[in-house]
Amino acid sequence: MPEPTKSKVTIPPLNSRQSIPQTNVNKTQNIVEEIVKTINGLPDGLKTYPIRDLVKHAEEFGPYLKQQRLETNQVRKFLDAVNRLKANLVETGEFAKIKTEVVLLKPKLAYAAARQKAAKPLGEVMSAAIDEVHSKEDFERLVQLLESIIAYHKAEGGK
Amino acid sequence: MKQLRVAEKAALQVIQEAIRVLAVWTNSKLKEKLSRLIAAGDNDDVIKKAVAQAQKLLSWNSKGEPKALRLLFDSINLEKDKEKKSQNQHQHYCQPDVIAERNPKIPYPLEKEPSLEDFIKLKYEIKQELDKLDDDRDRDLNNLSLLTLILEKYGSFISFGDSDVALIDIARSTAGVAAALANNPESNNLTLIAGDLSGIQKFIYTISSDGALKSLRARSFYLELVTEEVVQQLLEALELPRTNVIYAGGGNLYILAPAIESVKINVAEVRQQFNEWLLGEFQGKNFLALDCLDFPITDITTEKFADYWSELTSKKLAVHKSRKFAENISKFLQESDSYEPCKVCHRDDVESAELKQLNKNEPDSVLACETCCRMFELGGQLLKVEVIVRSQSENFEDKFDTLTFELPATDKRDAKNVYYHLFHRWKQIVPDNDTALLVNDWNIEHYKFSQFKKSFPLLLGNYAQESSEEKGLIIRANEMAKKAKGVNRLGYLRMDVDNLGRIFAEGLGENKTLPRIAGLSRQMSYFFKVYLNSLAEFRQENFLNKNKLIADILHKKAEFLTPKKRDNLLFIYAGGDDLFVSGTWNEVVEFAFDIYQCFRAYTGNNPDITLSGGISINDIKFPLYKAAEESGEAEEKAKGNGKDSLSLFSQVFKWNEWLGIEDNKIIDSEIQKYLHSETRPKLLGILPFVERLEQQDIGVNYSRNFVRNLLITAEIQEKALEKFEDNKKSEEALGTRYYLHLPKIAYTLARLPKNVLDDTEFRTSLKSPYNAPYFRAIATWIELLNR
Repeated sequence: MPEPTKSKVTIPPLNSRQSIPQTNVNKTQNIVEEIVKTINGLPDGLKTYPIRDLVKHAEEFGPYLKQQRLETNQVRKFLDAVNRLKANLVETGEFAKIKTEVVLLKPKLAYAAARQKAAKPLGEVMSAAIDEVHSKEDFERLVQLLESIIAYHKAEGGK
Repeated sequence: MKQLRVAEKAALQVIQEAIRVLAVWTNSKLKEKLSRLIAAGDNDDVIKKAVAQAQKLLSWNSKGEPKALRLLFDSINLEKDKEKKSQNQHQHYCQPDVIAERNPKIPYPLEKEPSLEDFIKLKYEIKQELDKLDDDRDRDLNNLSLLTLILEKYGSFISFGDSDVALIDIARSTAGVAAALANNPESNNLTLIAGDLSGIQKFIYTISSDGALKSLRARSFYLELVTEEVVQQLLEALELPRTNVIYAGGGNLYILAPAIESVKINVAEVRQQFNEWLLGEFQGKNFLALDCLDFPITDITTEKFADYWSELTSKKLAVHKSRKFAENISKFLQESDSYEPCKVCHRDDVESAELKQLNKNEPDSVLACETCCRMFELGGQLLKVEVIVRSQSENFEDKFDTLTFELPATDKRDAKNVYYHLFHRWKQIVPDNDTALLVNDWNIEHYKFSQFKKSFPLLLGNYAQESSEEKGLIIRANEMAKKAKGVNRLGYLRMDVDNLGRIFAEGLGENKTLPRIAGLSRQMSYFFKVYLNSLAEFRQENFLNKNKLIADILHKKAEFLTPKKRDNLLFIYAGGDDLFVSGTWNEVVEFAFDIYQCFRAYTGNNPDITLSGGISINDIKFPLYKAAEESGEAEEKAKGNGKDSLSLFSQVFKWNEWLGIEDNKIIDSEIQKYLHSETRPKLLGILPFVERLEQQDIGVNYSRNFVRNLLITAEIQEKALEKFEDNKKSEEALGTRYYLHLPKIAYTLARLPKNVLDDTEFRTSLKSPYNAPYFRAIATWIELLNR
């Protein structure tokens, strides 16, 4: 895919709140790549994803998803599944019990992405993250990432 | 009795000389007259020698002139590191001024040396006052307590001799030394007597009943008089004038005395008699530690003086406290029957039939012992006391109450009854009076009143709001609660000066001399007893003015949520270096912030002189002793947070974090490093956010939702942080504290109405990691204001 030139990227702001400064437009375009690259480069599973970086990434990625017109009902099944696993883990405290189900989260995302183009970026990011989930701590970080992204998405007016 | 005259004469002569210094300086017609009076004393060799020696010791220069007074607090330095020490150099001056007759204003220091005009005005006022003293029989000029009061009123903000020693402090110190020497001319030693009435906290804080607030206040007042009575007994026994009292108040006393055997014996006898009395009166809840220490006379002007001071207070008195009532052991061990306890103080040695209804106007009031009933009754009436007269006579009219000390006979001392009569108006004719204590009064005319044998000012931190339901009485807890903003609760504030012991023992470096130590305790207790009253009653005149130079002393502007009065307060205790104040919760919170900022400015913004405080907020039904306990624990938490902190809403932060005052020191260097890439938000801390939201008037529903979300976020954050208790500085812990919950805040913010979101400063600041620790404090404050 050719790199878009600056003049072409004039995404009109969706509302007056402009929480994405114009100077970050390029960055916004690359945010998926940046997160994926970061996650792939983690030394020891998702748990080593520094919280500060995670939040900073989510802060950019959430509004980007809003721009892409993602609505959470499009990925409802995925979100519900994550919440279920989270509750499970709290109850049992054993990662082994949810390990296989974590892997099964990926098809849910692929399905959503296939139906709705807007769900694709979230799918890419979360797939990369799921690949790095090998322990309870990794899974907890996955939840933190997802919750942060959704919170910023909603803060932008996303539904 | 001859000796009394000797000591008092010596003191009088020194004080007269100090007055002469003022007379010469202001060119008052008194100057020649005073010279004659002083010269007349020359006939008595002992006095002449004592005065001369005292003056020599303290470098008193009779030809000297009063000059500008440097702020003594500037000299306090607790920094050990020499390099840092030199960075902490401050330069402030006192405004040459007079202490007003009533409610004197807080004297904030100046950044520049006072101008000639400032002195001219003061000189004019002094001359006016001195010229009035000129009578035929020289009665006023021989009235030691009157002259001392004049020195205090006019000589507290000018120096004499060393530039940071006030005229009043050098005069009183010299008079004290001269008086001690006159009693013991040949000695090379002096004695310092120190007393500590311990158990005050226990006494005040164990009460648990309705109407407790007033009783509590009465009890703290009562104990102030007990301290006073110990001083009186000592001065009488040792035949010393009042000038020898270096400090007395709040259960502490320091007296300068001659180093003679009889002093030690008298100290021991007074101690024994008082403890015998305390034991009978309060079942051993209170104990008087009293002792003395000889030291070489020449050390009063060296740094060693502070060593003796500390040795006496922290070692010798501590020994007494560790073996309480050792001298009264037979009485202490005496068995007594136990009965149904008093519902207020829980004492159980009073026969059930003697317990009476605490509040006679309420049919189902609890049963309490006689003392507690007395205190309850007294508490209501303590709104206005102008004079307290000590007398040996029990009965006469016009007084509204009398406090009696019936000291029991001991092996060495006879039984003695002393009465303190309380009056609403100062002008009273009392038979057999020996001392009139004029409460917070600097009106010279009152001290000239010939019916008082001796009169001294009694400083009391005693502000209280008057009840609008019961005129002339102090406001009751439930009336106060109704006046609170938001939730109808009361606040309890406890606060004290950080490192006070070190400030006295080390703070002055090589200058730990008698006059400076005396000056330091005088200025500290003035703040807590006198200026706090003024601040509560006349906030407008006493709080830091944003536009004035005063703000520069603080190096930042003054902060507060509302500029309104905060006078729905009741001081339970204020004095020495600490306070316990109740009031409507919102006013107590704001008052605490006011006190802190005023105190820092008053002490020249010295980084080593700070306060820590704790506030608890409770329903009026909540037992008072529990509330007192909670605020005490809160204060401890504040101390545990590296001091200079406030604990409020169960949250502990540095004052500057609460106030939202930019201060690089409040964020420690590791965290600073961690957050370095972030720009500092415009609003930082707690108060600024509460202020903005209160101004915006966002509507009940918005506010409720916002507060709820903020509280939920705070809760999740606190829970997430629990596992990092052992390692608060790890990358994980820092990320969790400062970043992890920002997405939720962003989401919560997006739900606020548009006009709030248009406030970019507010919006971006709350999302900044710098403010991440403050969510709960901000939310709780807003919640209580709007509930």
